[in-house]
Amino acid sequence: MTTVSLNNLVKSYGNTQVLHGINLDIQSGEFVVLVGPSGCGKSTTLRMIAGLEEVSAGDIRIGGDVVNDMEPKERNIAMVFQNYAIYPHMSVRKNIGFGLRTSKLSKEEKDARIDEVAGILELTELLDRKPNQLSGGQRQRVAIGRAMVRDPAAFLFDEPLSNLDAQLRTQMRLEIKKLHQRVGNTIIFVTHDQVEAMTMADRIVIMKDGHIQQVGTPFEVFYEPANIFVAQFIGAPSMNMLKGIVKGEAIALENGTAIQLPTAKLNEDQKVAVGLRPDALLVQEGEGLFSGEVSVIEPLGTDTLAYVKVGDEEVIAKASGRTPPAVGDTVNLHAAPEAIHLFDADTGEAIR
Amino acid sequence: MAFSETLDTGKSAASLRSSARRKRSQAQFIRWLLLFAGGIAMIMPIVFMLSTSFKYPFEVYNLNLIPEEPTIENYTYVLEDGRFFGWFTNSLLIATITTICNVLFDSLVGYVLCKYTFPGRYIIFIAILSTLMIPTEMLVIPWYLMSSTFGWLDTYWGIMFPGLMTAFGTFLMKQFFETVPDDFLEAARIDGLNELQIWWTVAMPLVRPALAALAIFVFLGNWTASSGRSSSPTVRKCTPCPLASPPSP
Repeated sequence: MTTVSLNNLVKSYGNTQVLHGINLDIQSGEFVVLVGPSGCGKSTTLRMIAGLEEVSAGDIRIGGDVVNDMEPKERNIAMVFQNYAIYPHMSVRKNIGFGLRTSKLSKEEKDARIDEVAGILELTELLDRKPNQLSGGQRQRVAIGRAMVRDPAAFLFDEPLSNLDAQLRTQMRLEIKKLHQRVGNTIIFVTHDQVEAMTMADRIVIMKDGHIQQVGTPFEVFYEPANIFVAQFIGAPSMNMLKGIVKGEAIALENGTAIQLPTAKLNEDQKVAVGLRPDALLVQEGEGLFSGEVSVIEPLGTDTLAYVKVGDEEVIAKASGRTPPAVGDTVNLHAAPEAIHLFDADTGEAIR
Repeated sequence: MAFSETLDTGKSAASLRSSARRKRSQAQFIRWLLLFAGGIAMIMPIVFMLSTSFKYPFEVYNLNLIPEEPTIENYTYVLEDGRFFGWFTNSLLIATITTICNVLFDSLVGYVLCKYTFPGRYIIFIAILSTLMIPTEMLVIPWYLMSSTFGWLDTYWGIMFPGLMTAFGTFLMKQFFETVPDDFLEAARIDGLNELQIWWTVAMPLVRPALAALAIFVFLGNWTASSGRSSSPTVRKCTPCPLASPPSP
């Protein structure tokens, strides 16, 4: 187990800078997920930690040592790739043992280590098979096994669940989390899927355009998003964002309605964005924040998502699953004051 | 009424299925026929060659498959003449060594050009590829002069050297290495293998079909290439198996 620190990390390709000074401290044994849309720099960051990309500026420290100029093998890390990178011409045993090729262990010790890892990952019965005889989930486990067998200081996962179907992804998510609880190594996991990030991480690092937007626990990034991007990226469906302007004790929304708010931190005529998570905006009887006409409903079982036209804007709200509103109904939408997020419309930063 | 309609629909569906099956089997038959004809066309020259080897010279131009007077005299002549084994060994040695060298060097250069980024990579690749435009006939005399300069005349080295690496093989291997995902190589790099080990242990086994194709091309090319070798008037002990023009009895 070890710490990983990124200090003002920069990556440039020619004149194009893709990472703009990343600072991040990962504690020993922590499960950190880098999440963001395509092109945000999360995989580049991971590859730089692995030593597969050169550092343009800044430092990477693993276990306190600067590793910028170290070869990947000298960093004592293991990486699991998106397409598993297990060799089709080798058996499962050889694939898992591949990481031990350069180890000084005896053959008996290597075999014992492979057997132990195979046992943990329930691959013992499959050790003599070739990868093309395995299912997607089994291949994924082999890839993890190859990383585990070396007992590295840190595991790096580069979108390892992207190629799996939804059911298997959920299962593997759980298995990786259990594995982390069992082995306790530092894990840095890259994904574009915010559900994976929320469900697995001790801390989430949300990235966009080569910048870190927020670092926090799943609870923090969900309930206290730092800016509009984080607020809309985390959570599904995405947070409703309504533009408005501060007028006295209220915010006049562009959809023609106004909501009362404590405006102590707001200035008169300040442009703001009001964020409301769909599961916090409820279709209920009685006068609420505002009302509108239901344009589409999406039954989810327990709940129903209602797309409600409020003025010129459409918001997503949660309605009862048993007695959902019908398309065309006019409904009242309610939200608790603590569920309303405020952002500066110009900078996008949260107003707290 | 409804029952009879259902029955009619059922009959027509069955007849449609049967007609489709008939068409499929006809198409299959035609395919087999064409394949059979192709097979015959491929095998007949070899059968004739084999048949001719059991004929006397006067019968060589007869198209009959079964010789009127079968003989094994051609075989005994070739086997009794000691030179044949020398030629055969030369061919085997030259073709084998050249094939091994081609497989190694072409794949190594193709791998480097495909998987590494360095200044001039594209220019080097184009330069290698452009040598394909030079006809072999144009190279025979320079090769001879080179051999003469280095004192390689009448040596295996002189014969093999020009063919130890080919532009075609390099191109072929580079194209095949494009299909090897970079993740495989990077995973091996993280696992601690050096670049040569990655090429040999990871990349080479993944392009086995291309290696086999290249090996077959190069081996056959060298096995049958006797004309170029005889450009050296002094080449004697290294003459390969002259299958193209056997000595007349």
